Amino acid sequence: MTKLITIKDLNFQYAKNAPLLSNFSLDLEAGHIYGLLGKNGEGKSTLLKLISGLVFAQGGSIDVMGFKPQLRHPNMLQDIYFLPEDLYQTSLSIEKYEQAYAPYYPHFNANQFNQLLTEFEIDSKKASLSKLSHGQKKKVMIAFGLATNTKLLLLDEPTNGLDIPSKAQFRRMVASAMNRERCLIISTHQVRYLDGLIDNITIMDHHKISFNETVEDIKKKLTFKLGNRTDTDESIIYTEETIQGFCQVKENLTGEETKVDIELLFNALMTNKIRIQALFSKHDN
Amino acid sequence: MNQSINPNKILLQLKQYFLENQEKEIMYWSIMTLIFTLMHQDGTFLFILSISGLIFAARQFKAFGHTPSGIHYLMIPATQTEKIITAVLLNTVYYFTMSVVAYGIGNLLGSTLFNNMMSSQSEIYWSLFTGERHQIWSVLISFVSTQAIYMLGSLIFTKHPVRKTILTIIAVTVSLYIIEYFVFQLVFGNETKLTNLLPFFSEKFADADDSFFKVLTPIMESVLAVVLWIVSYFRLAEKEV
Repeated sequence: MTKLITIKDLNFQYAKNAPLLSNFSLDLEAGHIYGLLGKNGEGKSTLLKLISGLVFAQGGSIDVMGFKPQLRHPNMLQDIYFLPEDLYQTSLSIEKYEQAYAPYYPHFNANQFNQLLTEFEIDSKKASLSKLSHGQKKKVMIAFGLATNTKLLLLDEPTNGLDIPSKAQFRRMVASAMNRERCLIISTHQVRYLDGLIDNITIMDHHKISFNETVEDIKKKLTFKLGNRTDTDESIIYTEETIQGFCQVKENLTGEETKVDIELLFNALMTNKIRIQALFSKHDN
Repeated sequence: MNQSINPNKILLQLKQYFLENQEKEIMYWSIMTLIFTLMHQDGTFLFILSISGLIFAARQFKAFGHTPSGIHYLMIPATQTEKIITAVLLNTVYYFTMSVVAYGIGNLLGSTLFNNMMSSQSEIYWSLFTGERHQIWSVLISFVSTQAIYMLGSLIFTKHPVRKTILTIIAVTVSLYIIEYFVFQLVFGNETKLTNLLPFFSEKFADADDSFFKVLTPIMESVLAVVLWIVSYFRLAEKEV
């Protein structure tokens, strides 16, 4: 797989003596959908901005498709689509928005855009974006972003404001727009809606990457199952009481494959980081 | 760093501006024409041009006052140079041309209406194109340099750029005035009159040959505009949102 983003020993801070990212390193490849998770204020949105060249690092290096993002080279920008959490306000109709911005993206596919809008149940392209609800506007922007066919798609909380059916549509559309050349980074808190979509989970904790593994590897090394309160099995890493019972994250000693519960994994990592990291580094070695 | 100039990218940005502001522009220039119709023959063109132009230029980069809009603007795949050229074309060439057109139509309409209503045969007075003080060329050069100041202001001040740019200009002017006063006090002693001192236009300079200033002023203004455009370019390049 082609490496699209290489971040090495990155340092970034908004205010003096308050480092947000320190000695931060991360490699991201084409052909993957990365779920970027972390608590509030960990620097997830800032990381997306650093990759896009919207803020500049104070130390270290970032390479995005062979470009330094802070130079905002147009050839790099035409291969990145960044959808921020809060949307750009415009009174343009969808049709005029497409007329104004699609020409900047050489791989923009108008048919794909129309199909995606239909799938999102946006009936008329004559509708003014300022008159659409936040959710509908977000759908238009997601559809536009997918139709740009940029190599890098950065989505910050894309499912915020979407209703339940739209979240399922979003998953379908993103999956259908993926290919081996493309890399998607989805930063979100709504992890349940990423189930079955992302193939790599990247978790930020204390302003560093504390976990970055493929879903395939996670399945090989961990199981996510319901158990009992009285279970004392040493392979249990984390237990959480839910309405269904006691959800457990366990070391996968049997080779059995279970569905990855991202929320459970996140909570497990927050409470038992050392053990999980050790488990993955042991197996890596 | 690729800072090439692709005319297509400039055209795309202009198209994008007019698509986004089509209705506002029609409304705005209709109002401007109406103002010139009502104020024809008053020679108020310069005043209206300066005030409206400064507001237009100082709001050029208003996108930076709202983070999502700032992100949207910076993510447009065009070079910094192409973005600055587009901004300059809009706030100088486009704005000045439209102002002259609005002035022309307004002046013509106003004078015709006035003559019809008063049954008079007054000549249409084209103050912009005639008279020594209102030469269109010198007006344009002054306008371009002023717009360059306000455009830079809109890049520096993300919130309330109009107000802050005007206050900065006042502060810089007063500072120059004070510095000049003390320099003249040191050089010429107590005979320096405070009231006679204005930055760069003191009585000592006023004594100089008038034609010298007539040549120097447009050159200085042109140089100032170019310098400010370059500064704006670097300011845009280092802009973060």
